Amino acid sequence: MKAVEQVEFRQVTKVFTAGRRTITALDGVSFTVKQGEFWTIIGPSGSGKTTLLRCLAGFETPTSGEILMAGQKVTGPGRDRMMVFQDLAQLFPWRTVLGNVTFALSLAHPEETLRRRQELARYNLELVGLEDYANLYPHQLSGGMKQRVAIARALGVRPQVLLMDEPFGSLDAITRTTLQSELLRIWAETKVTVVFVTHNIEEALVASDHIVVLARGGKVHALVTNTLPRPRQLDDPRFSRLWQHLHRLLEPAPHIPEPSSSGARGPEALPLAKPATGSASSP
Amino acid sequence: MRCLPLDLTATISQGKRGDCLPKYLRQVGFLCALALGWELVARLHIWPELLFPPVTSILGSLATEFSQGEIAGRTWHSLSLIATGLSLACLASFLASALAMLFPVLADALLALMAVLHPLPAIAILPILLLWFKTGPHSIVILIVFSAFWPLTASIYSGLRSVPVTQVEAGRNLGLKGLRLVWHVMLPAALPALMAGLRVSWARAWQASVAAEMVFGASGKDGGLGWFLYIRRYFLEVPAVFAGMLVIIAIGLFVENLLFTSLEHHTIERWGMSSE
Ligand SMILES: Nc1ncnc2c1ncn2[C@@H]1O[C@H](COP(=O)(O)OP(=O)(O)OP(=O)(O)O)[C@@H](O)[C@H]1O
Ligand SMILES: [Mg+2]
Repeated sequence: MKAVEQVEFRQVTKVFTAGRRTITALDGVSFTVKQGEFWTIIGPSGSGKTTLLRCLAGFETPTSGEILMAGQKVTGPGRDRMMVFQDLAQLFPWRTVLGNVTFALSLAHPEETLRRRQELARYNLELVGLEDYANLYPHQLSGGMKQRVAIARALGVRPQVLLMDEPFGSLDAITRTTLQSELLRIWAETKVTVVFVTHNIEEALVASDHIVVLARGGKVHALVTNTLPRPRQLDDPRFSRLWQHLHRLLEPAPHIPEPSSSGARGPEALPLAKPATGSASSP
Repeated sequence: MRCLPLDLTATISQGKRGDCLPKYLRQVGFLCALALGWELVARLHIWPELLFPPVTSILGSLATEFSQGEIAGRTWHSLSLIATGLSLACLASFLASALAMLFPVLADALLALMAVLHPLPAIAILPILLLWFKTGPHSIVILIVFSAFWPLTASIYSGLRSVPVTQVEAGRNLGLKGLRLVWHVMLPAALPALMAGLRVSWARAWQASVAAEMVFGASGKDGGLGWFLYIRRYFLEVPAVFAGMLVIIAIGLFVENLLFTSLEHHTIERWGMSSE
């Protein structure tokens, strides 16, 4: 595949003002994503991962700098960038599983016939393995199934980039692992570009080609390229070396106290919560 | 409806699901006993029968009124006015709250108006309505719209404001904005609040329209149930007055327990949204 530049962050800075305080969520973030790549944004809690993704989705406007999408400046939300939120309440509860997907399709592809849209919707539900649940309502689904529907709905629109903000963050470890490998299969099948936010080093390493490590304060701490052959083997010594490397990068600097919030993420977030091992490399 | 025995309305809807049947039956039994007691007291002739007619003559009067077609016509008239009024109120409330959502300035204006006019009992504007629009069905319809608009707008607006942010953003991500976003995403998401508002509005509107016809004979000759009560009282046909009240109660029970409950059953309950 010819690698075309698709998403470009140029010195993106985002400053929030909350009352009298100003919070720098992103600070001069630059990187370039090529078509079909799988990018992961990783960083401690509060390092601006969500903000980065929301800026790319067009829900937030950068304070300075710009984001280009296929060469065009991002000015608002668009169907070329579909977001899958962490929130399990992102589906429309008054529509069935199929209805959620067809609704998105009817907005994205009004030129298609109703019949064709139904077919497309079913194809996308098959992609996430939910074709048998088409007529259920969201409240009748488990958390993992809801996230699959959200992925199907986003993919149905045929976006150029799929944005995912810890979509599996509120799921149990087993469901999470299953969905990760399904996402990889879907990514390989659809060749969609993915920008994925996670807390979890392993999740980042299994999936991505490139990893953006954000530090607290919203600076890019490191850009790590992951060239390990796919499918990634957890027992590969290179995998664990890369894991160690990322873990050191994510270690909190000694003078910044680690907030307890990362512990609340459950056992999957372990890599970040683990006590420091080896020599500390402060940013 | 707040003017009805609340407990009864609650248990009838539960009784439908079969879990509270004994209680429901007990309540029906209690009402039958009350009717029986009424009948006995009336037969004792402590008060003149003209003012305190026995249940049997009330039911008899109900039957004759029905067979002569009068009460059915009046009921139909009342219901068609209220249907017109409530539909207009729904439309106006939707537009007002959607515009308030889209333009903060309008939201301030709407909230200010609501603060002033919501506490005003609708019937209090009737004298002015009669001066401006004369007696007749259109005055009653305006009264109904007025009485339903404020509670409905209050609940739709607050419902729209508390729609989950992610659903709104999912809608925006799909390219929806403005009125289309409100219509396709925010309004259905606010449906639980809308339903609650509709129940209150119906009760207010129903009370206001019956009261208006009765107090001022506002509807003129061609009136509804309120007018029916008014005119029967005028001719001292007391059993017919009671018969009219029974019809009003029956309509209230029907709308509350069958119409709204089944509407909710087929929408927000089915979609798992009723806990909100
Ligand atoms: N709307 C907002 N108003 C004010 N401050 C905000 C807003 N959104 C985010 N922030 C601040 O920006 C910083 C980055 O937040 P962000 O949500 O992007 O972090 P994150 O990396 O996604 O964290 P987590 O891993 O906990 O989800 C935080 O300090 C947060 O308080
Ligand atoms: Mg976040």
